Amino acid sequence: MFDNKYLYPVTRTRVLETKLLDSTKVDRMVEAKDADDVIKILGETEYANSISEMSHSLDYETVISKEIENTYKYMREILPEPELVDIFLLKYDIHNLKVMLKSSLLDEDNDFLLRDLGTIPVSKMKEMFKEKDFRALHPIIIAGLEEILNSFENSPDPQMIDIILDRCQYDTMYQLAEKSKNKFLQDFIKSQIDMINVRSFLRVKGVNLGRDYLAKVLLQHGNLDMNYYEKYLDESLDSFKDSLWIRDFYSVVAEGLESYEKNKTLTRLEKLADDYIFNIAKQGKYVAFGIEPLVGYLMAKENEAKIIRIIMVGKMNNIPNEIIRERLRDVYV
Amino acid sequence: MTDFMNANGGLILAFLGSAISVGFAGWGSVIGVGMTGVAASGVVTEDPSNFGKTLLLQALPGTQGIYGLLIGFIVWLKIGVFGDALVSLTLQQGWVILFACIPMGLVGFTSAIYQGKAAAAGCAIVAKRPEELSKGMVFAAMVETYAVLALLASFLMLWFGVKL
Repeated sequence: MFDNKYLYPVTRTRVLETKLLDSTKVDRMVEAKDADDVIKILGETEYANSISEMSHSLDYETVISKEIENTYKYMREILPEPELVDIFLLKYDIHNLKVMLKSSLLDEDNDFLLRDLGTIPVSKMKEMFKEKDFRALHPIIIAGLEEILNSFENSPDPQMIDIILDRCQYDTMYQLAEKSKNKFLQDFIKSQIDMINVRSFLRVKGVNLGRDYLAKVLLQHGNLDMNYYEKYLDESLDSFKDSLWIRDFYSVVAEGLESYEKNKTLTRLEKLADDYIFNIAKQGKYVAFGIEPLVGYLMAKENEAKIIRIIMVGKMNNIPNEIIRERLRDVYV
Repeated sequence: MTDFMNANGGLILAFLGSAISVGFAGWGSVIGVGMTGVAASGVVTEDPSNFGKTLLLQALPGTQGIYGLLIGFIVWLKIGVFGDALVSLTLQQGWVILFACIPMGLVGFTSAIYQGKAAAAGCAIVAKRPEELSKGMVFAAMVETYAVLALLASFLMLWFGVKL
């Protein structure tokens, strides 16, 4: 693919890619003797700017948020269609919506969980809640909010907030990608939906939550439609696995199920699913000029945030290096 | 009308040929150099030390324009643009000159664009690994082969094919 629109953004991003944390840096951070040392190593990298804004020596969340914020600002600046950034920012909006809805419906104060990274600033969203005016949100999300409020009147179940808003998030993401007519973005989101649906399916099947619950948690717009999962709900896991042999995520399911049957946890499958999505984002390495390298960079930056968080939490709780290393995902270089 | 064509048609066709050669090859170079320039700016924004390297890449798609002008020059030389008076050409000689110019115009146009793409991708190589500039240049320079072949074809046709 060669898209002239992406000449400048891609070459500029290629330079930034060289400044990502490489595996040697990550290794050094894992081997560091304590959390302060990790911050010191980060200080030698691109993170130095954000580190100066830390309020205390272990305030790594500020560093991560600042860096993510800057990355999205950069994306908005260089993308030929800046509105595409919203597809990736939506998860922060949804997260904030969940927190605020739970706060207002359950009368709790969870403000410390809010993250001011989304398309709508936290302050504006609070105002929306105060004035009960949600018109600034995407129509799909407005419909979702109504559904939540209606269902809450009948039976107050906080889980519904998560289920409905997650569904709204992926529906909206898919709609935005469809509107952009960008094949890669659509496939990327479809694959994410597949991985979420497979996980939901296995969880529902494992704990026997029933067909109605499955229908509620499944997301639309995946490569497999919702009936597919419902059909296999009463069949063995093996036949579900075998039916997927033609799909490119077959190995994720096959390997994940193998470990599930042994240890009865989906941890391995979740890691494989994350890697699968990350590998799709890595396609950016092989596309000369298109949106792929930019999405790849964005994912790499978010991945770095995860890496730093895992290492910092591990160091602050004196977790052995091997366990930290196991938890780390592949670094995008 | 027929009289006019018989008297001037040869010269008109010859000028048309040189215009095709200079115009199309130059047009291609404009696109190619522009495209590489945009890509190079991306690199230099984040790392100004790569200016010289990316400039080399940007210059590559520019050669087609020069080749096109060269062929144009030969045509003008042949028909006496630089002399005291224009040489009078038969219609057949005019057609020969026109066709001799087409390889340079056509191949110059397309090869400059595609060389621009290869050079822009070369800028992405420089962005990630500045020390690998030469590899990016080789990829882009491969396209040059065909521009040179077209130049050769046009030149041979004009030099040996048109006897005035």
